[in-house]
Amino acid sequence: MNLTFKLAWRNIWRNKKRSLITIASVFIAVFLAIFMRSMQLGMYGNMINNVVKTYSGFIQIHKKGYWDEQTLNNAFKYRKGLVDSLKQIEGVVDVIPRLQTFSLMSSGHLTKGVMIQGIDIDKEKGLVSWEDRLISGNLFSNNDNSIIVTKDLAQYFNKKVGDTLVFIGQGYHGMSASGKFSIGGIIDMKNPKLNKLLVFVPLKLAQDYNSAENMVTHLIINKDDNAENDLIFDQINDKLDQDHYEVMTWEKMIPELKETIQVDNLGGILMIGILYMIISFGILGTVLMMTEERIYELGVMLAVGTKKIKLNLMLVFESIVLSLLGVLLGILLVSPIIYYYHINPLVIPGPKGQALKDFGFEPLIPFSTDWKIIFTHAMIIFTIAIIASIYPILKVSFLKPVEAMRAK
Amino acid sequence: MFKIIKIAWRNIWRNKLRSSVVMISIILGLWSGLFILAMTYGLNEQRIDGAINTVLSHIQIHNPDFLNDQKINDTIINKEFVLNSIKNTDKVYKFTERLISTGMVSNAKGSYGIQLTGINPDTEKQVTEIYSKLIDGEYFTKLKRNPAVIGEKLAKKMKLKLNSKIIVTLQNTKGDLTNAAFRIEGIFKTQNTIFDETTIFVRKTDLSKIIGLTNGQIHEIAIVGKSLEDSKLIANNLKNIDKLNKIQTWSEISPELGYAQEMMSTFLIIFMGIVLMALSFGIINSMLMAVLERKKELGMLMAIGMKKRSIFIMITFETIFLTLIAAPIGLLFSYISIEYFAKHGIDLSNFASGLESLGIGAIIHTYLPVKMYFEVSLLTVLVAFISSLFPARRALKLNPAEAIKSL
Amino acid sequence: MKIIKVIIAIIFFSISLSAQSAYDIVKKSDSKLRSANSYAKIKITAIRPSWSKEMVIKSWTKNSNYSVALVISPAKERGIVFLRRDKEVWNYVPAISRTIKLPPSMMTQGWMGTDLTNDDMIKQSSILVDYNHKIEGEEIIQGKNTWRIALTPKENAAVVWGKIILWIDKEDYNQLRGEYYDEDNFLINKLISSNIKKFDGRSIPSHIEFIPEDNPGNKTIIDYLELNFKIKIPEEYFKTRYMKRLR
Repeated sequence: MNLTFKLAWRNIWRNKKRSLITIASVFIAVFLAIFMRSMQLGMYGNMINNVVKTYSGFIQIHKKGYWDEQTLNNAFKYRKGLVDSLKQIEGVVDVIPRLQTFSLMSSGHLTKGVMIQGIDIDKEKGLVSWEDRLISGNLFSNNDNSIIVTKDLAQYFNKKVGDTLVFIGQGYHGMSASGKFSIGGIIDMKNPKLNKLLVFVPLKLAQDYNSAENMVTHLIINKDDNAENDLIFDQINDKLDQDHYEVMTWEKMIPELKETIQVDNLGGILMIGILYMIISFGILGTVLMMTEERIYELGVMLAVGTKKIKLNLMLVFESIVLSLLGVLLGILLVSPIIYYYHINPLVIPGPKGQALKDFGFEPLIPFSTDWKIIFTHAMIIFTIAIIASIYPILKVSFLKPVEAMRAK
Repeated sequence: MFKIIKIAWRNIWRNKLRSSVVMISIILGLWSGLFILAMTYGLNEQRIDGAINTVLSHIQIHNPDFLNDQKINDTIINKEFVLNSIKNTDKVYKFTERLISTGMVSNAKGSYGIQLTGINPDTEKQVTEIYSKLIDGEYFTKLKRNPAVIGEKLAKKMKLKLNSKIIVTLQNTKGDLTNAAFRIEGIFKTQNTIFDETTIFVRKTDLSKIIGLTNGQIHEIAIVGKSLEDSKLIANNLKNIDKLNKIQTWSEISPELGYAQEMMSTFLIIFMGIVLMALSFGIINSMLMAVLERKKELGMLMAIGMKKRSIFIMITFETIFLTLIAAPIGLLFSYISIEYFAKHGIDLSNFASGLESLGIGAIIHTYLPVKMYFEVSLLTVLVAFISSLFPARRALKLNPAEAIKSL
Repeated sequence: MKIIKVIIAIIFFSISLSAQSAYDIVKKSDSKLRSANSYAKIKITAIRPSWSKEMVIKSWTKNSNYSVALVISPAKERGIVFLRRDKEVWNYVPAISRTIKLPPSMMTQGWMGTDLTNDDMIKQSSILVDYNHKIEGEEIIQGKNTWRIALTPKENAAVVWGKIILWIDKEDYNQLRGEYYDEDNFLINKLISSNIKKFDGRSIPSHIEFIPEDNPGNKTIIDYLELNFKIKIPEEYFKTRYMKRLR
């Protein structure tokens, strides 16, 4: 056994060029596969982060039944004790309260239905950059009496910072809601539909307006980028009374995003599959030719009395070592590159990048450094390489030494 | 020179195994690259087509104020003039006029916000395909009085069936609220569930009476040209004639569609790059082996006086021949498979339930513009050629004396 | 022979004279509240499974198309005015000194948190115009003899109901009970009136319960605290500019 291994080892170093070529074909396979997958998954992760943070947040907590009937009467009391206990969950950065309701906004002869979001702006800044959205005026602070209006609404009513708008609606438990507020700032949500719909108000002001003291309709969980959403979701579920609250992940709230990514991922996997096909061919081809080249030498060994099993074992060892070296080399070389692009995401230049910006997203592709990617693809390619070595083994099994030696 | 080429040709047939490996790599590379491209193109085409044939059309015209808030009095300016100009514009194929009114629809179960679109069924059929997407009922052929055609999502939400009554509440030209009853004549289903949930089609003649726009005013004109690519041209022609109304192409109305196309092409480029790199590597690998394996033979050739340049050319041509044989085969396989799936479609319904909601449908028909066949083939051949240069150069480094020694 | 014909004719004639058509019955019932002018002080209670809200309003009505309501309590809503002029509904809110006209989207929402909608308030008179009426029989409700009358919408009527059944008492023509069905014959709303009192010489139910069948635990109760028919109401009460001055 030891002898076989020694032979295998020496064979490898005996013909450096041949070994190098084999190692290289495995290496390039690992490199390209990991590179591509890391880019794809990084991009999906980024897309999720962007969209989720802007629209729904990763996890939302509501009063049970709110999602199906989104009315103010399904609001619940903000309990500091509960919020603190949620913040203790690992990965949770903050728990952000919101009070959301529909009202009529009016000025002069113009009246329009809008969605009022009562927010805690300091906490919201942890989710999204509000400064980037601001186009005129200032962001309010939590105790102010001024509001923030989206730009298309401001335009429709022909209002600027400092002007007043009137709101009328239905408050909590049937109380009428009415108020007059002045515009502190105007923002661009980068989404044409949202720009015609949203009005932001300090949480306390919204609660007053709606006669909903200390109540909220949403608690939004802001988490660490790298924290596992599902883990946090489970822990939250454990802490909450299931009869009174409902907890939802973004997958449930924005299923279209998940589906878009699924479709894209499908394409991505297809591409990787094709890459593997080509790669397998590369490896197979290399191994094939190696074997052909060594027919003479193998024939001699058989003639000299080496048992076929030992020969096969030797070939297997060679395969394993070469593949291992190729894989390790691939991982070694690709890791710093994906790490670099993880920290400094790839920028999408030109008009394509601009298109992304127009949607309010950064034109970046950060690479994913999930070790699972590296492990998975390394394993797959390693396996492919080992499978490829079946050819030489088969060849050896049927080899007639005399013929082999003649084929010099 | 010709002799060398002949030798190169014979060489590739000498080692059938190696040659097949190289050729198969090229065929696979080409085929898979083209097929993925075709799938992606097909996917995107379907997405765009779906939207264009039901909602967007190629071009839409509105009163510029109407686009902001859909106020009922912001009708198209100089309608007769505009319609005439459209008739006389080059490349316009069909067009139709619409009245649009937003309001509420109610039945005993509840009320919801919707858009009522008043159409002329005959011209509308020439411009959109909604009439062919009915899952139940008819498209304005039977009911005499106030027929409505609604989307399946809305029907489900309000538990409406054929002949159910709905009450719409709208604002008329004076700003007063007005109600009218309609009966469901047909139910349609498009790939856009939001559209299905919020759009109700009625006859323009019925709607105009209800809202009080009885002088033939309209809110929207939708135009299709003979082909999608003509959109920009038609729009520009019209913009020169009509400076008052807002004329938009489908991509201006729905930039997300155009954007999706952009993103896809970026990825395809990256993907093709990677595939070509893998391919290139495979070729280098194989040809290098070929050189090393024939060390003795090449050494001998050099020893008997063959110039280094000739050897270089020989090896290069070996690769070229392999590519020239493999490429057409790859192209053929690609063409056949793409055409087959273009007709029969690939059924992805098991994998992607999400496709429907994205407006795509679970069956993808591949499609590849002819120029892509050329571009990809050219690229592949180029890459193969460049890949061959490295092993060819390597051959030059062989030392004849050394080579003979190993005999 | 001739005499028999005459007798039969007379009998028929008198029968038709004394028999009222369903339409007449409904009209008479409807006009108890709706004819000419009236002033009412009304307590409206909205009941939900987990909360309830009580309001008191003063309401002036000038025929079936014009009415104005002023909220007296709760304090936070005091001074709010709803004015209905034909098909328009206007709303004045003192806290922000603004009068707005309600857009279509607000018309179908619950009024001030109750189960009634702004639309309901407007549509009342259509009970005569938009329906065909038929007497189905007689029943005893709350100890009184009533006609049971079925209303089916006319072909082109813009009403959501598939059928309405009203029980109208034979003596005072009060609608003691109403059932509202959708097109598929599911009962959607119930209206039960009781506690008949004499207001200004007219017998009118002072307690009305409106029960939406598909929202168990929900109810809206209307109690007439005062009801006055002999009142003279100034024209300007029904003008939008007067809304803020209503007391």
